[in-house]
Amino acid sequence: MPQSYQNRQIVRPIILVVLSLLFVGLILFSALKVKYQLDDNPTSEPKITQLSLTDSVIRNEQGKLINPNKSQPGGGADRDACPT
Amino acid sequence: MGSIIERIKKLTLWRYLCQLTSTVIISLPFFPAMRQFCVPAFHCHSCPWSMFACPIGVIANFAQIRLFPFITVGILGLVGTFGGRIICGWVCPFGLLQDLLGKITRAKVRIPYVLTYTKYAVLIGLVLLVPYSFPASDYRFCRLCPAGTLESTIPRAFLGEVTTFGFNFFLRIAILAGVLLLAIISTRGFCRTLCPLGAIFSIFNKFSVFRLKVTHPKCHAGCTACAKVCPVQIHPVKQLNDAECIRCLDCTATDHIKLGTG
Repeated sequence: MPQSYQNRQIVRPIILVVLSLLFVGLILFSALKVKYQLDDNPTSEPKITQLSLTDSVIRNEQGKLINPNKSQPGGGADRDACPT
Repeated sequence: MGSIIERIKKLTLWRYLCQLTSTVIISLPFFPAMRQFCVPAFHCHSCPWSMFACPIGVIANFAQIRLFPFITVGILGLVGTFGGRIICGWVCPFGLLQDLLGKITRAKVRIPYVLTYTKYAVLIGLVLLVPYSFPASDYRFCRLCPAGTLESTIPRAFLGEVTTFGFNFFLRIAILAGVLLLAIISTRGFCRTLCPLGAIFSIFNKFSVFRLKVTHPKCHAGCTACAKVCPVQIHPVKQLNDAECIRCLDCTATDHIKLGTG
């Protein structure tokens, strides 16, 4: 069996493990650490995701995240997702 | 060849069942909507009945507000690492629609391989750069997405929620019509040339945990049994685990190729 093939067979599982750990790490990092300042309130990524679908998160001129639909039920999260 | 066709028919039936089940789970509101999270399949979260967020929609929205979507990238990366484009073949609702439309005619146009690189341009341009640079643009991916038009714009137009029928509305309808026509005259034309989610998963195809392997000791490039049955018009042996392979597993019916972890 060629040496290069054997090397690839050793390297591939290492790459797969590293990638899997990296992606699991991204999810855990978001779940445990990431808080975005929305209207100066710490907000989790899933909540930002939900609000972004209804155009309820934008950046203002100062670059801060604000919710233009703050006064609506659920802070705009209950609106229909991005009307297309 | 007869037994190969029989095996492909069985495989296809299982694949359709799997795609149909995932479509029902993604599209029907059995539970309260969980749009905080995406499912790794191409659909539109703006569909009135959709339960989960679309990963491409989330990435585009996060580009628009200039944040990094850790969870979405993590989910897509994990799924890609394990199966490459297996989601395209076995889960994607838009893929199911294209598969069914592809049954209309057997005459298929051959898509030049060079056109398959367009989807990377769509991913970088319309999903990332346009929302990032022009957040209010009407030409970011979600506003042009054929799945969005089919699952959201059209149902909402019938429900009376779309009130303006301007240029953008008809542009979206024209794009959808083009994509559906492409699905009829080619196999998985949209997945191969335009789908940004397919572009993401295709990066993982070569080295994912589950991938195709040539197992037949006498398999040679001159035999075209697997190429004849491949719906995405690649030669599964010469182009083993190519970025265009949607892991439909039709080529495994030839017994020369198997899905494995090695």
